[in-house]
Amino acid sequence: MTQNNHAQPMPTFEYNSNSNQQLLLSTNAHVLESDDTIFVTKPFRDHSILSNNPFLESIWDELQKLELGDNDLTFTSVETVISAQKLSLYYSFSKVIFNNEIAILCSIIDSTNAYQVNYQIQQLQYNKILKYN
Amino acid sequence: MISKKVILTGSFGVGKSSLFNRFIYSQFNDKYLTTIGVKVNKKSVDVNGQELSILLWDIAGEVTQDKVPVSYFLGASGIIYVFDLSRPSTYINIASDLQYLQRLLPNGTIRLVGNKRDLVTDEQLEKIKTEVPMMWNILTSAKTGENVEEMFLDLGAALLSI
Repeated sequence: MTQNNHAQPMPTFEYNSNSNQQLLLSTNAHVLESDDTIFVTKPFRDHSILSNNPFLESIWDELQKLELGDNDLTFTSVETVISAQKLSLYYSFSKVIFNNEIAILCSIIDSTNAYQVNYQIQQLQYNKILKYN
Repeated sequence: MISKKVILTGSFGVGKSSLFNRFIYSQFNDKYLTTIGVKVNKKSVDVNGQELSILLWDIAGEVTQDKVPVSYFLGASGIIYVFDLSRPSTYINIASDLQYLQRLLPNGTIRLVGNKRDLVTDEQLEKIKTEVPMMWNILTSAKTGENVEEMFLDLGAALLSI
């Protein structure tokens, strides 16, 4: 795995507090299209999105290996901090053709509220176990 | 710069997130806060003069590793399997868990790490040695910071030598 260094200041994400985002990435990880419903991607039209997203950076090589028509590659509950807010995001990736070019379609669902309930239950459960171990 | 994906795994409450926070942010919090899903961040380290970016995944603790989503391990170069020296239930599954992880990542580097060194005495440690089914690679304390940086540097060196 290799990473390009950018001399310019890194752009940052801005949270938009919606629930579902469709993001289309080029093979060099630039944003081709996005409805920007969870976070704004405008600064990443001319930048690799990987520089600001360690999660995407760490799976990028695997996304390149996806074939057209493969099952989506999914990751449930990835903790992502946007605009100082801790979000639980569900990511689903597939390879698609966009304007006659190969692209990566990334569907993101903001499951923060749902996971908040899970979090509280799990915390109580584990606290109880740890107390008696 | 070379980047490598490394996964912190093991049972819940063994200190994976504490090791993550100690290594990434040089912070420690005594309060146990459970992890849901996965947290990812990165840190650059100097390994014998070579810069390495460690992309670190802190995944939710499971009692056995086959409960962890397989997709989490895709593209990983290294795995740090953490157990709690002060809690025997976190090391009873070590042998089967490591076998499972080796099958999942046949070319990966796996480290067995006993955490919470600060909670056990030298005498207790001698007893634990006879109880843990496999010999650990290193003992750490996320609380005091003992051996945390060293563990990542040692793993980094191993990853760069492959």
